[in-house]
Amino acid sequence: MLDHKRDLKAWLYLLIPLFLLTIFTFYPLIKTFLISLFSEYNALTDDFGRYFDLYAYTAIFNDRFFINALTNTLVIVFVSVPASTILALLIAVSLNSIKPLQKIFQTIFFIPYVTNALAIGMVFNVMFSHPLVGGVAAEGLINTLFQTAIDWVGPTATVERWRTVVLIYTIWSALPFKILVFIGGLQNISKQYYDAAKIDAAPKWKVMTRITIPLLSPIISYILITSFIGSFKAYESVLSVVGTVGRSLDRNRWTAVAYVYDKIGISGLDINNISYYSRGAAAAVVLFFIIMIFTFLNLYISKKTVHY
Amino acid sequence: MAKAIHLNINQDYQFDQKLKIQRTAQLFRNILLYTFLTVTAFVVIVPFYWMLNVSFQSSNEVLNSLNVSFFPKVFSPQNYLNVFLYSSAAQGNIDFSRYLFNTVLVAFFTTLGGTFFSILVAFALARLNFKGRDLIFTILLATMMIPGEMLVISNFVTVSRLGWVNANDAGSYLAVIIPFLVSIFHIYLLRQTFKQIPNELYYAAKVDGCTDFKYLWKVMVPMAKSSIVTIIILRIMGTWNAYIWQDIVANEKYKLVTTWLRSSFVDLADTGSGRVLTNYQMAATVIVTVPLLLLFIFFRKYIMSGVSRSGVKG
Amino acid sequence: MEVRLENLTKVFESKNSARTIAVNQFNFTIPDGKLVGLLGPSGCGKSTTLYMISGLLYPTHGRIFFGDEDVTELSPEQRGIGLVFQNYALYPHMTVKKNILFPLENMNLKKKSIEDATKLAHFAISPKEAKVYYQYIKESTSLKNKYKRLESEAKAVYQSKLLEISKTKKRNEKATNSTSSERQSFKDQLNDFKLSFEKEMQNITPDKLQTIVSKMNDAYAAIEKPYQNHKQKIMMQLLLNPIHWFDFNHHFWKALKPIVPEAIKQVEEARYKDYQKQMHDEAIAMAKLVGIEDQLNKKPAQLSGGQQQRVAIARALVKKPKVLLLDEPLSNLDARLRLQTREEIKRIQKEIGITTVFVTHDQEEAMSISDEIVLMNFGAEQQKGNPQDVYNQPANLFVAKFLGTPQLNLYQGALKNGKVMIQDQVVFESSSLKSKSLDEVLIGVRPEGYEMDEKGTLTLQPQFIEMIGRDVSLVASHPQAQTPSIRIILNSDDFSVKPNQLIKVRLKPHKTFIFEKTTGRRLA
Repeated sequence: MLDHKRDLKAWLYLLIPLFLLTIFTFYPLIKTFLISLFSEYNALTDDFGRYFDLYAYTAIFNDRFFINALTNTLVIVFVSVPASTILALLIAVSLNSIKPLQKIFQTIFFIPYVTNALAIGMVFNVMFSHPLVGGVAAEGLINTLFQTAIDWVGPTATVERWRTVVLIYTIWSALPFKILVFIGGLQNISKQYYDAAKIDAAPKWKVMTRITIPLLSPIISYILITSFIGSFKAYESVLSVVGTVGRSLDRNRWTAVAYVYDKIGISGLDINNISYYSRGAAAAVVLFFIIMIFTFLNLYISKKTVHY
Repeated sequence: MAKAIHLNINQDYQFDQKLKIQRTAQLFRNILLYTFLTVTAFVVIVPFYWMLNVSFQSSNEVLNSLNVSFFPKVFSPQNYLNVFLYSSAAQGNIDFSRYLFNTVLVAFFTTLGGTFFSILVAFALARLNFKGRDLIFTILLATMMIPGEMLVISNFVTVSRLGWVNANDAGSYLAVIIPFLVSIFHIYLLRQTFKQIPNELYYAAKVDGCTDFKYLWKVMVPMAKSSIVTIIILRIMGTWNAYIWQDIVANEKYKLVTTWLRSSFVDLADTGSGRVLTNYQMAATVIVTVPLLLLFIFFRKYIMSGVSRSGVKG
Repeated sequence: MEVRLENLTKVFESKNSARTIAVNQFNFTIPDGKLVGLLGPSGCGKSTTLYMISGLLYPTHGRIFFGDEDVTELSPEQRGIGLVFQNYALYPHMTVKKNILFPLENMNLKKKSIEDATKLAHFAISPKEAKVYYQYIKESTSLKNKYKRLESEAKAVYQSKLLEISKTKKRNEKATNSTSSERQSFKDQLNDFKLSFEKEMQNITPDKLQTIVSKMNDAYAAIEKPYQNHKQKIMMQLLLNPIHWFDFNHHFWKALKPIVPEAIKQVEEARYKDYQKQMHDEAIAMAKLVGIEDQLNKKPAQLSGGQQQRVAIARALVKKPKVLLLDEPLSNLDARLRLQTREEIKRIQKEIGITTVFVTHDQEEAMSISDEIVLMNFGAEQQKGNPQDVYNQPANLFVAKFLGTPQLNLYQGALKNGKVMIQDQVVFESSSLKSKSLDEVLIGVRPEGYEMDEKGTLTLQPQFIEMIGRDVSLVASHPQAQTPSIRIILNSDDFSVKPNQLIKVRLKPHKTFIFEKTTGRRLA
């Protein structure tokens, strides 16, 4: 009897939050799946329509903007994550090796984290600015510094150029979190191991590779997994850096997430009688699966290489 | 390939060769480290400098010079005033103060509600023993991995059927606040902190006739103060920086500061030639960035410890 | 390798400039090949001393010598020591085998091996020159050591002079010398040293050293050159066949062996030897020595405390250090394991014959296995010597109290005309006391220092009687005892007492010690 009562009381604590979670997290999860499978889904009436099929999926894979978006996203993921992780590791290790000024540097490196992604993205946009085609706005910082006259982010920027800027921005804003976590991990390594390594006459580089990094590997793995997942969702950063001066992002510059968001708010069917909503849902599901696959891959690799 | 013997006619006993090399190597290493750190720190700072620089430049400079100068030629703080008072006709003539008000309101309620719920759930998961506890915890952990994009589509439909989308009343606020009120990450963080509070305190309190609820608010919450402050600050930061969702669902009059930023991006053009006034844009950016920086300065310890702790959990 | 500590001092300064003198003018020589225990209560400076010997802590004053080499300025890896940490500090992510291999891998065996072989080759090829050259190297090294030592001694004297000057200044007295004059005389001293060093160096430098070296090099090259050409050809041949790439060194050496000139054979052998195998074998041998050869592939977390410690010892010893240091080796083990392990440590030490110093606060532990013990308190040496000697002849109250279980019994007494009295009864006499008189002295008696005697001058009130087979452990009280109850051990043969009956005892003179009350110094 008492057990029941106790259980009930505990569930009271969870009641409202769970209720909200169910409506806004669990239910939508399933529903999105379903929407992607009903290619005539009507958003306005919330009517699933008659067709239960995979046409939404074929539609998106035939849509070159989706493939393009996926490519853009993958480029961001596979370049920015390793680059920012390695750079953050180098910085964290350097910070850990100096005593004076350490706190100051740490604070400086952390500032990007507290800023608004959108805002700083705009700053990058301005930094890399270039006279608008036709107009005579001034050359931005980068062009002035390096004496170049390239359109980095404007409407005439080539794919390589604007991807480069997006990557630079992504890495820049990904550093603080990683640096902080790495420093926390580094400081958790007991000094005794370093003393023992001194007695064992290990040269500095060996201490780094055979002791510090292996002991840090659980944290490195955690960072890699979370940043992979996070970078797949890139959207705001791209929007603010290379978004055109109009509210939306040029279709060629879409990321996977941008593609999904674009479909919200377009009701109705496209030329193939596929609902835009279904397409968006399908894209979201595809993204989800890609993230899942990579996460499991990461976990598998870390099981093999990480020393706990 | 035997090496010829190098005659060590070093008649100096005071300095062992090795020691000297060691010391210069040390010095070299230090110089390298500091240079590396300074250069990277500089690169990190540059955007902020640029932001400030351009924000104080006159429109004339920005439009008509060939290269944007590294330091404003004509110092123009009036940019800030203009930007502050700016309201876009296309967006229904709403000015910054309105957006600010919206953001503060939303921040207040989501922080209040969100933190309250996080405390309750974290407490139940950390302290109470009930059937299904581990199941719920595992489910919650699993959901942490779900990207928000999966939920957006359906949530939009749900929210619009509730009539909140583009509502010209409090519905817009609700649309922004309610769906993401419960944050699993915060619950996880708080649960970890709660778990570190010794069991003995709970049992002692029980023996003293204290109810669970009272124990939560009188013992656990005060002891977990720093984690709670961290959550609150993360919430505030999150609301301030929120863009996508609120942009989609809320009515213009109820949108948040980030939208204002973005629209100023769009519209602050010199209406004559259609060119973009970057100095106003940057001033807007500064206005949006500064409050967070202030928050950072005052609450630096909480923010940084919260972030680094989430990593050490492994 | 003998370890000599000279005036070793360590002062810690905390943020609010509170100075803690952890080790104070500690002088000691650890004889070669002996097991020495540094014993003392917590905070007495023993661990600090150990860490200074290891090189992880740098002394504030004083010098440390390994043999006749001044190692004070050397870093830990340059000293050639093995250290077993109190918490073992085993690398948690490496297997036992990798942990033991780690120091070996850092030793650069190949380089040393080649150097040694080259020396032998030089002796074989150009014996006259080699003899002269290597003799010169040996003499010049010891000369350098000598002058390093002289310089550091002068530096120590100089610093103490400076200290004196600042002290007299503080007391507002006039100093005998100014700091600048002292500095000048110090500089002059250093200069003198330099000059005499140069002179002595010249004396031992053979004539035309440069030509001798060139001769040696040329002779070696003469033998090597034709061989080199041959070697190149063979290498080309081998490289052509991809099968050989797999274990290149092995195949290369096999092909080279027959054609290597006798004189430089050892050098080339050293060059192409399989050091991995050698290291591997050494690691396994060491694992066998400490008794963990069947745990090699486990990680430290999977081992028990005792096993972990053995791995730590193996790791410390595998590089064949000159000195082995152990920091509280038994404190993390349970009681049963402690007895076993301390015997193991003794056995290993004897088998290898390495100079060993260990730190402990457990006197039984130290007494049981050390060849010599040093007792420390407040950063200074209290007494040193053979354990039994220190036990039998404590120099002061601290030492007497610290050693021995049950603890020394203490009584308050008086010294009158050379006779020690408790409550006006003479309990002890000694010629060394002559006819001294002191109002208050402390009388320390070992628990086993009593004999039942009807005519005994000391009367005790028994509280508990514990018959433990051969002995009787008696808990008693005496009004002049320093503790409410004292424990004495008597032989059960002569024991016949009923409870609540007062016993009279006599003190065995060689188990009784008389101490000055204030200083604790032993009088007799």
